[in-house]
Amino acid sequence: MTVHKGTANQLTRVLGAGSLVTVALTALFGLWLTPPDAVQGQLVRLIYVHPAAATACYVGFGLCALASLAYLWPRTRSRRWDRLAAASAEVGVVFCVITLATGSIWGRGSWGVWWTWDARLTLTALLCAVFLGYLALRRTGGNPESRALTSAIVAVVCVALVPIDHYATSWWTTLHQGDTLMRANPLIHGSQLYTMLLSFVAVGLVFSWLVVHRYRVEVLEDRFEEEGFAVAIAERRAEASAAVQDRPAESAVVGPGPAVAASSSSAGSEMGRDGEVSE
Amino acid sequence: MSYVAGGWAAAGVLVAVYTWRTLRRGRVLVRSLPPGEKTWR
Amino acid sequence: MAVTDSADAPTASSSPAAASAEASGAGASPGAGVPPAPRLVRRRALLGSRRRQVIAAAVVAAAIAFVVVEGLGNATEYYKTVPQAVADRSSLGTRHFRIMGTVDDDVRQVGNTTTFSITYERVTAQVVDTKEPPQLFKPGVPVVLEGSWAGNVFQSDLIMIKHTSNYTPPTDPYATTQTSK
Repeated sequence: MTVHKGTANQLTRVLGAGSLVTVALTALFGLWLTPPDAVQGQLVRLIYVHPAAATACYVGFGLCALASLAYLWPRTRSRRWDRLAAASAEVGVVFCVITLATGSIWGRGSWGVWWTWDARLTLTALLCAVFLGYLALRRTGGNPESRALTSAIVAVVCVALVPIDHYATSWWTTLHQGDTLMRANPLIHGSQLYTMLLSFVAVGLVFSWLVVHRYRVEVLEDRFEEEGFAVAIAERRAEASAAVQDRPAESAVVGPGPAVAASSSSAGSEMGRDGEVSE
Repeated sequence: MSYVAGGWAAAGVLVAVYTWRTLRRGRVLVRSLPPGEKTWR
Repeated sequence: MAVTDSADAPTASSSPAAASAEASGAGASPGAGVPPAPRLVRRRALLGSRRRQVIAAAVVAAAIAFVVVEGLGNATEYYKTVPQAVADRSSLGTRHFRIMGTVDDDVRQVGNTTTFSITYERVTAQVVDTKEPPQLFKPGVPVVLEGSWAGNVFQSDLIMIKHTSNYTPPTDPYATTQTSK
């Protein structure tokens, strides 16, 4: 077989290159070219990671909920929305963990503690736990259509935590500071502001790039889940006969016994045809 | 400042690990498709 | 793609397909090496068995319950400001709570003990702290302290810096206008 490009194409290459360039620029400005802060000193340099990651986390969960709504709405119901929900929720959880980790480190340096149970931190931890539960729910197997329906409802309910988390610093007293940018008169130095905005672009590109890749993985997993093993077995045969062995351990041919019998009964007509061709 | 380095490194490592995992999952799945089959479209 | 769309449509037929795929995966594994695709399919139904579902649900529920119990109990009133804490002094008794104010100019350190006062809206409270203050601790900085009243003095066992969301270089004139939220 030819070179396996995986889930990459022109779009992901552009997004990936853009991510690399903007992340590098953010690091250059954030770590070297911007001044330290009057109060926080060098610790201010975490502002070029943490808020952007938190925003990506919110966007991931928000996108998951929007896609879930689109799935629930009868006129737009399509498994594509379910796949987008799965992809964006998973990437959202990754950025949620990044938010918690960078926030904890920043907190240790500036506040003096790794963690405190104020409303913002508590709700972010809750958000992370809830969407980890959502991802677990998606792994329970069973009928894909009913899984899509259940997880869509769960996502739409759980996303209510996002606005509560965002407004926590203005609704209640918290140790966490309020918004830097979304307020009447932001007080932030010019180069710090521009670098912070650049970090949002960089993280946005990384986020989009990851969601596109993850979406395609979801498409492929859906296919394998629903079409059984016919595809994989056909490929294994083709690989063995072509003697292409980039991974000797894995390309060991599966015995044609029960797997083939099951695949011919389970696979859709097109997949069955493929299986026969390679046989 | 070690907290700054730690924070940036934590974010970088998490993104790198997740990226590696996702791309690898995609490659394994694409490789398992029958020859000539269009992939994730 | 046609294949994917056709698999989308029939709701009833997709379920047995997945079920038999599971079964064949289990049947094939004792034989030769497990091919990657079946491994991925099984990974997707990681929580397919009832036992694993119960364990996963318990873990997630425990995590959510822990966060809710620890956090939401006091998160809506995370701290009292100095005037609130002074007004509530008799009802608070020796209860552990958080107090917020700005550190005054009278910081003194003797051994492990730091004494200072904090002010908020012109109400001041004396503080005695027995733990080492964080690195950004200094006069003029807003702080949240954990501890309890011991008479008229606040006995603190944790100092946390409550910095604002204002960011300026050290030489900037705005640097001196930093105030608490």
